[in-house]
Amino acid sequence: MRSVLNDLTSIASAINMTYQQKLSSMANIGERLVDPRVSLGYTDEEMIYIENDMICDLNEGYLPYRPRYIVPDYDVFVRNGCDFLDIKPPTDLDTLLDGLLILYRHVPSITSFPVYIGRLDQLIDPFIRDEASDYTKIKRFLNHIDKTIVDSFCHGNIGPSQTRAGYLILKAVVELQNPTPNLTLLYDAHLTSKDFALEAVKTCLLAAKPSFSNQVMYQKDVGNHGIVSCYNALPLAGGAYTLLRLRLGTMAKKADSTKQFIEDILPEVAIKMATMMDKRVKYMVEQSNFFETSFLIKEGFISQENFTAMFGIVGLADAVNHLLKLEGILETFGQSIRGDEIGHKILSTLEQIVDQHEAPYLQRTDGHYLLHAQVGADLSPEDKDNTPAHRIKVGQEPILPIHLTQSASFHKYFKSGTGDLFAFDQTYLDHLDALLDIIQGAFSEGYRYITTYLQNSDLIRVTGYLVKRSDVERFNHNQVVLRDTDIFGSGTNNNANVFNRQTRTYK
Amino acid sequence: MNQKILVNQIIPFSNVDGEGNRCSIFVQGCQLNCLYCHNSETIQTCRNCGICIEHCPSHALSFQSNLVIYEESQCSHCDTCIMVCPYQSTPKAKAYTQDDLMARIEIYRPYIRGVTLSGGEPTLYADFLTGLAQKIKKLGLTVYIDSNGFFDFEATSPLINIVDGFLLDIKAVDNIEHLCGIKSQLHLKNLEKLLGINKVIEVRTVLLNKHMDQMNTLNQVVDRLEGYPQVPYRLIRAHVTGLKKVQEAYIGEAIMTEEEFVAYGDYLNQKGFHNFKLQR
Ligand code: SF4
Ligand code: SF4
Repeated sequence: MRSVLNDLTSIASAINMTYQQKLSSMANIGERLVDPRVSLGYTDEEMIYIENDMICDLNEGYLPYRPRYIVPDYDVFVRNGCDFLDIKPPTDLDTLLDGLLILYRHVPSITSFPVYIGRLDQLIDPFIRDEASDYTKIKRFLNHIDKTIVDSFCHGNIGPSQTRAGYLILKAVVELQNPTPNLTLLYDAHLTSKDFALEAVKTCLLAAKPSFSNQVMYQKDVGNHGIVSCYNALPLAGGAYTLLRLRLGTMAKKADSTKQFIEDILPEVAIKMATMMDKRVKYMVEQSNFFETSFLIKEGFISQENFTAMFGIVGLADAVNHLLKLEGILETFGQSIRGDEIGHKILSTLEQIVDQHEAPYLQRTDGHYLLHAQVGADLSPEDKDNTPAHRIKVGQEPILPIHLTQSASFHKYFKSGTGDLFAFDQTYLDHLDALLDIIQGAFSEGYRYITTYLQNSDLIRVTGYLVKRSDVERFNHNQVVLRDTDIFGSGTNNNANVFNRQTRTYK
Repeated sequence: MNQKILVNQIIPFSNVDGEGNRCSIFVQGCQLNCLYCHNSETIQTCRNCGICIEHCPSHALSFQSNLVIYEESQCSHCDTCIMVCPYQSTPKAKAYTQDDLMARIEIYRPYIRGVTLSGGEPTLYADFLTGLAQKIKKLGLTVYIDSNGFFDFEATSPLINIVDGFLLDIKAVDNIEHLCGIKSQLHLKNLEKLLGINKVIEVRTVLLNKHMDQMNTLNQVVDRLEGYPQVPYRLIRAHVTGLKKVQEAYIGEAIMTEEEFVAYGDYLNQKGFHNFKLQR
């Protein structure tokens, strides 16, 4: 969406933003003052869909001067250090952690904060000497990240194999109770030990992270990758140029039948979104000079050949609910066989469209965009009618086993990421193996990614990232909060009521 | 096979009925009547007296040709019907065939390690459950029986042979008649026999003051568990939650304090028995 000069004035004088938040907001507004018809060559037809909210560009600017998400291969730093920053290769834990913290400052992204900080346990483990003192360092390192990378989209990975560093990281995560960094265990039943998996399950109940990602499935679909931002699976040493999303809920409101939606509206809008993405990618590669100037490229942390881009959707539930109504069926998505049918028809049609579209500079993914189940990190009122991704609307969820199986069937479409989250009650803390059974079952049914947390904790999952319930409440009372994601959290909760997701209890 | 049994409820995911995540099926009907039973509505089958119908605030209950009919979609799960039933029953139990139950289990299969048949007393339906257990095992799931221990071992042997093991209650020994209304020591004999064939997953005793022989029960169990270090003993503190008013009036004062309860754990430790869990 384009901005106007007045947006700058209101941000400059806002009462509930930090200096840093104002700075990046104003930069973003500046980038949206230009007319994308001029800067990127968007057509009037394409612009219509941004203006009528069917396509959301997540406020990516119209002079894209860096990729949205960057997934550096931090092993390069361990091997070579960094020439540009004049840092030698690390020789011990101190120089490793110090070097990483410096590097993170220089990894761009859409928010200016790094969305991927590496496979932390693998980076750290070779440097572990004395567990007690090394633990203190790891904990300090993680806390430093939380206080300086003030954006919960910042994501670290651990696993699949257990390491001493992996255990120390989990221990620190529980003690710190910080929202950042987001954390994912790359889970592979053949490589991840039962003990480490159970430790991760416990940590997740106590600190709302790590989440579990289906390493086997992602490795097959994306190859070497990192889990970044919310739960996006993106090529390692590359990333994603851009992410736009279709608001299926908004689009469906214009339909007068399921058939018309799937055969006319969906292809029309989807192709417009793909061509807009093409233009963004081209600008980045051909005009921004990012790939010519960044030391990350020159020193081999990333390469342009490893970049893809994400074709997002939100609001499947809302679209399906609307089409069910048109068909005269009094059911809702999540508890409707016809609803699932419509959902699959929409997504398989979209999959075809995306697979037929030849996109520029996308060698890594065979010239095609990857579908992404986006979770509505947006303050826009239109997101009220667009439930995150393919999720079931809060309040319309079936019982847990049916919920899992229903959602599992939709994970296959989303190669660049999707995930579901479930709140559990206290009793699972004494029965971690029961929760691990559920996670493994979900993976066997086709889940890509699953998160669990305790309903009553202060750290809460909004849609993929973490916020502190208390911080969101503070923001809602017009007080300044540290993280931009706290602000998103407030908007998303107001729109989607996610703080009241069904708790899974044993009766 | 179209034979049906009455099922009080099915809990799709349970984490307290044996190892891992399990589906628990609670059958309706039990031959005991324990003072502290916190789901006493599973004890009797409904007599269709109709008393509960008028108490239901959601009009989920009605008479149809002299039978009480329960309409689940109307139910607000307030449990008033259970509270007012004078006969330790519920109008909400439903009849299931083996195939009905299998259809439910199939839905839960990916996420569970097994099925626990509980109740009520499942061994009352040994024939039906033997057939069911055979079908469940074919899915690669384990089957546990949660039993009060009072069953005829020989007659129940087909069920015993097919299942993976028992979660066995030893509720009391000398005071069993006062506590549960049954005059028999069959439970101890069955414990011995089941241990002998490696079919005990866990032994359980609910602890309450006054109405049972706590020490004696613990000793009897622990003596028998000697030589079976893999079998844990779970001690459960009786609670008032879930009790009916009459029960509460009768045994409320016999509920242990946490300190009293924990002392039994200390006692077991002193005795040199360590494989126990305390469920406060
Ligand atoms: S549940 Fe109890 S009160 Fe209701 S009809 Fe049956 S026996 Fe009577
Ligand atoms: S629990 Fe019983 S009394 Fe309550 S609504 Fe359901 S049927 Fe009626």
